[in-house]
Amino acid sequence: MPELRGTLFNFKDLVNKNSSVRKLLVGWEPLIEIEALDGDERYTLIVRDCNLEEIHEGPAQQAGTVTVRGNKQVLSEIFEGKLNPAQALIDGQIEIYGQEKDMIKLDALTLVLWDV
Amino acid sequence: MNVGLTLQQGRWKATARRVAREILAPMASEIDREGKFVRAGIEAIGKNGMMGLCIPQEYGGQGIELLSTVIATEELAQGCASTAMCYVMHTCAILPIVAAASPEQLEKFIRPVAEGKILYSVSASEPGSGAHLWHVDSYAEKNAGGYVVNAFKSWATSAGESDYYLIPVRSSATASADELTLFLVSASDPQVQPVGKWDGLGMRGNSSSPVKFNNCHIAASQRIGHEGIGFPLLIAFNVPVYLLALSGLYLGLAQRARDVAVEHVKKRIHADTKNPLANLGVVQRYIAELDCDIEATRAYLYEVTRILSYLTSMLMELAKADLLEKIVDRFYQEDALLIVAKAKVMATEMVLRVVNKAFQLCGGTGYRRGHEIERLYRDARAGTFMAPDNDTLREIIGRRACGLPYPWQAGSMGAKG
Ligand SMILES: Cc1cc2nc3c(=O)[nH]c(=O)nc-3n(C[C@H](O)[C@H](O)[C@H](O)COP(=O)(O)OP(=O)(O)OC[C@H]3O[C@@H](n4cnc5c(N)ncnc54)[C@H](O)[C@@H]3O)c2cc1C
Repeated sequence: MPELRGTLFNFKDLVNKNSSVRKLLVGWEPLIEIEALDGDERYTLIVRDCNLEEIHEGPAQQAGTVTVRGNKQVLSEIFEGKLNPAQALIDGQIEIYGQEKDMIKLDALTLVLWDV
Repeated sequence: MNVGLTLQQGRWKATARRVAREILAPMASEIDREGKFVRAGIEAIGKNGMMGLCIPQEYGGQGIELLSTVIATEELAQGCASTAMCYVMHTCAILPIVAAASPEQLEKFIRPVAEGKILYSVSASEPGSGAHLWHVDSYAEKNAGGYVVNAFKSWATSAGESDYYLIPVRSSATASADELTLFLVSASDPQVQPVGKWDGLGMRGNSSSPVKFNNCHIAASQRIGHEGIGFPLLIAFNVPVYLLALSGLYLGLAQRARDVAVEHVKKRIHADTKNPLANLGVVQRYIAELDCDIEATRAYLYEVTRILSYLTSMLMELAKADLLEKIVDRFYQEDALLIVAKAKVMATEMVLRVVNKAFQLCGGTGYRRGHEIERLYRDARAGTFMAPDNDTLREIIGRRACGLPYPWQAGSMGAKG
């Protein structure tokens, strides 16, 4: 199983290279917390100026805009494009907390990244 | 935590219930008898802020929150099913427009809807396609000023009464049957001609006549989205909303039939037994069957609607970033459409079982012209063959279960399927 950290950094590169995905980032600057429930891993993704600019280890300094929680494997599969996040949410494989519009945006972004 | 409905959903449920009881129900019998269009009901829905329930907030609506729409339709149908049908067809026109409209079009075609000032029709069915929404024969011809369309649309709820018709036609004479472009055609165009007066078995107040688009000149500013994007727009934003709202309508109709039957058996007393019919075990059993049937459908429909609200919002994000066409195939593959198709099959068949049993409980009294159960019985009948008809939907559900493509991905069913 690929480690979550590596998967997220790979995801960051792909997002920033993908013009379709970046269209979805216009006007959206969230702090996204990723929390693995079966370990101590926690990451904060910072989106700024249509870029996934940084990934920090640990929780967000301010309250995160969106928090995604699930097992490491499920989270890795989502960020590797093997699992549709909307389906994972419907099936109770992940939980997403935050404003619905931010959750939807994150799902849309992941979906497009692996489809286009 | 929300165990049941959100405050917003509860508010729309109460509003729709009040409109249904105070305004729609008192007119329903006369509308049915005389085949009068449900104008007053539509106006009441508009005045109470329900014409644009699914419009995103930035355009003056309540957000893409389909459960409020479904519940409002369910409540309205308990007052007058004809009015609810016009509401369904109007509502399902909205999101394809929101998804693809230019800023000017949004101001012209969407903002007034939220204010209750526009009534839409969707006219897709054609003589050649019947209930096969993915096959359209009519087409647009481009000219200097925009397009010319000659089309005979065999059905349009609110024909001759709505303000605009949303019509899908093939993008050109040579385009394939599902390479569609959407146009909003003004009902005031003299080249748009409703054909005859609607005289159906049921739903008699919804003016579902054919409409002829006779050498109709349509400006490019009336085109929704670019040429050829019509089918993805319909599949993502029209068909799911239509099927969910239609299911809500038939759920509401079933609930009303059940309530009419219960009222009847509580009051009907035979001289020999001196007891109401409600005291009979066999009658109680019938009512229990009605309740189980209705509640099972409601539970499934609400659950599916919650999921679809989420997915539709996501597709709207993608549409707004011009990514809809890239993603819409994936949407089919994830089979989001199937859960909606199942809801339509369940609701439109459940209502037939329910009205049939409720009719039995109302006896000969209900058989007299003008009794409410007799009207509900007729109104209920159209659901199973409203497009896509239930046999087509079953075939689609079965095909997907066997790993076969959707019919529009495989060519015409039966022909290439
Ligand atoms: C009250 C009412 C309001 C309507 N409003 C509108 C509207 O606003 N806009 C609009 O566009 N349309 C509207 N329609 C039309 C409706 O959605 C259908 O298109 C129409 O009822 C189809 O009629 P048809 O005779 O062409 O059926 P057909 O398509 O000929 O189908 C007849 C039957 O054949 C069977 N069948 C057909 N195809 C298949 C298949 N592939 N597999 C298995 N079985 C199949 C089914 O049993 C079906 O019921 C309305 C219809 C009614 C009754």
